[in-house]
Amino acid sequence: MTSLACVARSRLSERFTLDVKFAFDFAPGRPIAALFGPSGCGKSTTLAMIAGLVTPDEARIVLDGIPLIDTAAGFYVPSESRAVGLVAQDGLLFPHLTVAGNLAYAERRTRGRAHAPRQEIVDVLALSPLLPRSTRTLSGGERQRVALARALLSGPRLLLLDEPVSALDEVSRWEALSFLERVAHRFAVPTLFVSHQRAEVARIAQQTARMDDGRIVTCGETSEILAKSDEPGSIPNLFRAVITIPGRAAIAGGATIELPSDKPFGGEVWCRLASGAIALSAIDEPETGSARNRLAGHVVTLEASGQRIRVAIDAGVTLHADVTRETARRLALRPGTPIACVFKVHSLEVLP
Amino acid sequence: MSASEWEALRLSALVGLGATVLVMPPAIALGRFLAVTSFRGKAAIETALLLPLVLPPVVTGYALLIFFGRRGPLGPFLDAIGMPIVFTWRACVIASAVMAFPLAYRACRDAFAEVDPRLPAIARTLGATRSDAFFTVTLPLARGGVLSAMVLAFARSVGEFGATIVLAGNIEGETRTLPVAVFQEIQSRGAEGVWRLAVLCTLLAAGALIASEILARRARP
Repeated sequence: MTSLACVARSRLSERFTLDVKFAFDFAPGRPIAALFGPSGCGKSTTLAMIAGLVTPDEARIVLDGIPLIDTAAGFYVPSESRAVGLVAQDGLLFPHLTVAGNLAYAERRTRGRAHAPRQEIVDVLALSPLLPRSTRTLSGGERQRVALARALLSGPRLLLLDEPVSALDEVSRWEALSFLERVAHRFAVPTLFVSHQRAEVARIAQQTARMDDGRIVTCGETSEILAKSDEPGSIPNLFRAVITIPGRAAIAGGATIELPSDKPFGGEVWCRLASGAIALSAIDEPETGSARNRLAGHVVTLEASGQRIRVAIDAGVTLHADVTRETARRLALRPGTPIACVFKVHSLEVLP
Repeated sequence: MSASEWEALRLSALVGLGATVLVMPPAIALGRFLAVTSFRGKAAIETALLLPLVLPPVVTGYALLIFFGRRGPLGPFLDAIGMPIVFTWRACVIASAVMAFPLAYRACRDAFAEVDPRLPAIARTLGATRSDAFFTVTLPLARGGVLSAMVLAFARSVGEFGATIVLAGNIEGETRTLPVAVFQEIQSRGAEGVWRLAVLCTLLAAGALIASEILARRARP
């Protein structure tokens, strides 16, 4: 099991001091952790410190028990010896090399570290047809896949993804995320993913540290961290569903839901559902209204968020719903209360 | 063309090559350094580096004469190792190099400033050392500007007159480069030889400028 512990403090400007402290254990099957927070809160700088591209004023960053930097002891491992791969928002492919050249560049500099077989990486990321091409002709999604493959070929002990999909359009973004997820699981590479998009974090990270204004606010399980958010407004729930028959899909726990489109696409899809689009009703209350999806579960946590209460519900998948204080009182919501989540078919977004 | 004119052309070409070889390493190193760093006093250093561009060449030549001359700080040492500079072909190379340096430096600096600094940084995370990243990422990406700097340095060296005449003099077969030969022709014989040499100089300079422009254009993404 890989572990990463980071304590760093650096005065970046007159008014901004980065002061972070967090630790992640990447247990088997849980390879992705996220740094989540608004733009400009210091997430990318934190990654650059871990990668050795920025030297903090004071820091102790330890990967698997071995320090990468310990300013108190005057210890510093240069970037090229850290085995920490970095994928940036725009991929940063070398424009003077072809796709194959970019991959070979990393492969020639592994310094004896093992990496997954090149062909396997190329296959998983569907890069074969791109290999001879110039990097200038690639689409955003293709660039990110090449950047990911290049980082993997350098034999990293830790992979840092700095807003890797935020430059992509909606469709490519979810496709790229599924590539990221597949890669992290398949090659068991501990991955630290940075994003300001709640949906992205919810989708792929098992653990999350939430950052704000240069500091870590909370750190823990993604579902808890995202539920604890004090930001007003709705948050998206994301969960997997397996299409059983056109228009219907099964989710974790065995329940089935109705999908908004009856296009006969098969296999697995991702569904997105805003927390504000879920209504809660007592488990024995009869079905009323036009909402056709109803998932039974029980309350996990309750968190006040302004005038509303954010409720985390285990309904096979973890869902977050926003309800008024009045509703919470009426339904006598407490951790453990059996409850039904009700939502309209058309509130559900099916992602490709 | 007369034998002495051929000799001037040959000498000029050699001086151009020698000065370019001499000038490029510091132009690349300083161009790269000053393109990516900022510190107090940087503007003063840049001004000093560009000074030969605006000083009268004879003034630069005189400063070099003081520096390399018998009574200068380097003169006794150069005499002792049997490599005097003043009034030798080496003086032509040094005078040309000093005059060409600001042009080469500026072209290199601009070329390196165009390179996204995150690219060599990414190379380092892939296992490249600092110098490896420079030679395999930064320099190839700046190659158009650097090649253009080379051509400019060569052209400037071939055309160098003011500093050369002060530091190297006018010795046929030793320090009489093309521009010095033109000067000589003007003073002694008259129009015909001047025209031939002037056309030759113009062709060399125009060719270099065109080459420089093509290389710089090719480098752009």
